[in-house]
Amino acid sequence: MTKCHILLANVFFAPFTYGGATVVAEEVAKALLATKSAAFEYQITAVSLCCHSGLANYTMVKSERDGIQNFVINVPSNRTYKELYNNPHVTRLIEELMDDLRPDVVHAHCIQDIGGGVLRAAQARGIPSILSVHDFWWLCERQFMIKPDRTYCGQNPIKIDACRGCVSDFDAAQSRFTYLQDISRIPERVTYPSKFAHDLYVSSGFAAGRSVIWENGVHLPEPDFEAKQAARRERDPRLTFGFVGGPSQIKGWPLIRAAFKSFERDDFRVLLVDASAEGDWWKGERFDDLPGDWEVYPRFDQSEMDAFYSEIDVLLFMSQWKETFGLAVREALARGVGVIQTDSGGSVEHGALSQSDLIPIGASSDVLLSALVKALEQHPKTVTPRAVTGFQAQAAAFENILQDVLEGAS
Amino acid sequence: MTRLLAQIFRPTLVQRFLMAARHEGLGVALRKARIYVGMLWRGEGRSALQAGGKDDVAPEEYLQSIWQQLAQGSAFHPAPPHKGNKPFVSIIGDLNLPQCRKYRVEQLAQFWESQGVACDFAHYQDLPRVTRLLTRATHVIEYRLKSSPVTDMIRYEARRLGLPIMYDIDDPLFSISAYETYGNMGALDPGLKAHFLSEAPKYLAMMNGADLISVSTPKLADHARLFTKRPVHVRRNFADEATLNAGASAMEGREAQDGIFRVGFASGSQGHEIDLASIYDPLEAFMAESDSRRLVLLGHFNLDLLPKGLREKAEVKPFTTYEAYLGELAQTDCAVMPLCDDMFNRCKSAVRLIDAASVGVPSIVSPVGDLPSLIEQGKTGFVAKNQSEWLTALRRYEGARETTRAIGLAARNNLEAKWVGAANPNIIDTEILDWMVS
Repeated sequence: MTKCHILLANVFFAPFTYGGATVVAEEVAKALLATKSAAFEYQITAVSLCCHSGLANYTMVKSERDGIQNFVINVPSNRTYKELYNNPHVTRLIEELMDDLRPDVVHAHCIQDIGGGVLRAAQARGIPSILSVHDFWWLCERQFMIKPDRTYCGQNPIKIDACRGCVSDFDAAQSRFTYLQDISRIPERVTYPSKFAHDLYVSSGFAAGRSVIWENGVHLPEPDFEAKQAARRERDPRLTFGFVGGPSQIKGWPLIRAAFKSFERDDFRVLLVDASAEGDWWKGERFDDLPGDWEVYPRFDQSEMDAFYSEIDVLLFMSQWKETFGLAVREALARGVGVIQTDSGGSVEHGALSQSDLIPIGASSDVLLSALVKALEQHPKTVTPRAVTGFQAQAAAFENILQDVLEGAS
Repeated sequence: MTRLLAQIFRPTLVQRFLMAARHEGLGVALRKARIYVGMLWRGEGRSALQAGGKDDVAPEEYLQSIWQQLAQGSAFHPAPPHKGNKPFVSIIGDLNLPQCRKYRVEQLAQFWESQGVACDFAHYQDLPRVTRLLTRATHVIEYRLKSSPVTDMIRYEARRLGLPIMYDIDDPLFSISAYETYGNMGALDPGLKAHFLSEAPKYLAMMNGADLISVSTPKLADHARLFTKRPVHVRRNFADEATLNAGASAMEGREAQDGIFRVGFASGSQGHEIDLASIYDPLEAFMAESDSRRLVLLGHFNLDLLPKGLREKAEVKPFTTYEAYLGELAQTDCAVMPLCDDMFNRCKSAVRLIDAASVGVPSIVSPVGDLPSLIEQGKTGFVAKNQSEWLTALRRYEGARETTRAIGLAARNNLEAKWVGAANPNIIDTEILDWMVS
């Protein structure tokens, strides 16, 4: 058995977990550690960031959860535009870490704020690297291709010249774009969570020739999920809609609100998840002018996921931009929870819905209203759980990529 | 300013502002606009990280908040460093005394580097650096620290990280019995002595909290064992590369003989007047024998305490840099290192002897502390056991200048051969080397 030490760079990491990409990074790492019969025995060390006023800038603190040590670098809050994609202070600390730990491979998983220096540092030490792309950070300074007026950019391929009206400083944006394009030539493999993300990046000239689709996994339901779901439906047979996202235009909240506002039935309930770190997404929002029962559901971690999904029958996924993956959609489908969703990039690549079932981005609230009415009319409807990639399978897929990289490096 | 205005008044931003004003109210929209313009003005980018924590914290609470967060996130206890990890020693010390910093910190760092062990050091009050070094460390050495809220916090962090800790000290600062009988205290303010006595338990508290203790001499080890059940081992001070190089340069800069015979006495800190007083009689007698003899006082010395006969022969060289000090020392013909025979001095290392040997100047020393360990009687220097032997040794050096110069060179050769930073038993106990690979 070959020992393989992976240095995993991710902007957030346990115990400072935040966002879908972090969940994926943590869960894949745990799955790799738990691998028993593989050719490799893994050691995984993470490096991530925090922003803590009480600690000096660029102090590093070591933590550990679930067998993964996490070196947390404290960064100041007022970093310059350039330091968000190329921060020499962070790079220097990661270089020290690489020299101390001597990892076999560097996995740059979600390195916004960490910057591209991590890949340069690996290259300088002859350490092979894998880059995983999760959103549009590498191409778009606004990270999600969402313009200041909260509409989707829609470029395909992305040409930096077309960003003039959107970015705050075109010269700075151009330098950023060029730097990150250069950096993208370093890693041995660049992974994308979906064909949509892959195609957009590659057509935009990013890391041609070394790209691979590495589909995200999700936390699969526990064996008792079905029983939990049945118990809830018996307790409260009303149709329950769920929405995982904040009250922003880009996640489709105004559309959802408008659709429900004109809904003429009230025999349903809606759970709105507050996934914010501070629990303040829905503060100040009023639902008393909307039909049905509305409830804010607190942020939950992976182990509490079944409890939430057992409470809902239909997930509303109304993103008004092209997402690269869409974890919530897969989590719902894996549990036999129905989905009403927009035609949003990689989030539709599960194959559970036909094109005609997808709501076009920018469609009026009437289209969503029709879908809500249909769901209510069909209730109760049994939805067969769909086979969805779990973290174990995602980790196994990563092992294949890793072995290719390590064999190529040896 | 024009550029900034152009950045602000873009159609998409204006649309965004109007949208925010419509949905969230004009007040909120203006507040958001102010934050955004401020960011543009300062050249800041939009980060995914949200700032948290308090700005001003007391030094002893520096890590408190992050500890709480790690504990809340079940991430407080990292596994100790793997045995397979590349060893990295972090030395956290009180680096305020230049001589101590040189011999017990910089020198030690150089030693471990020569053994293939990465090493770095920080002053204990430089908490950002301390934190970073502890994070990298596989082993920690605490040098000359006393228990305090800050050092307790540092110790706590080292223990949280599962790091083995060695405590290093080169004076019996932990010992009231040594301080109370220390002759040199007589030259200091009584209040200062009382302060030293009150600090002793704080040094011992740190020693007893470590896994292992290292000291600079065998006598100091014996004395420390009266206070602690922790294992105590010896790592002597030695002539490091910087000392040998600076010494060689000083020798090259030695001026031509002017017929004057100079006896050097170096004092790196207050209170050593008492040591010199122990040989006033033979020294005065020696100086009185000829007008061409001088006493060169290097460093700290209260001339008021010097007898008239010696004061007239004294040349004073104020405390200076280490390199300049060696330059001055090289101009002397011999160095004297008298030590009163008390417990504190019995624990002393031979650093002054190393300094003198590095510039090829022969020494006369008391049979106290670790000084005699470096001397081959008559070949590389003299150990003078009584007043008569001090006078005899001074006369021998003065009476045979060529031989004296040869003894000085022999002392230098002896230094290079036996008292450098090698992993030899006379320099470092095996147990300390073993600790590093444990």
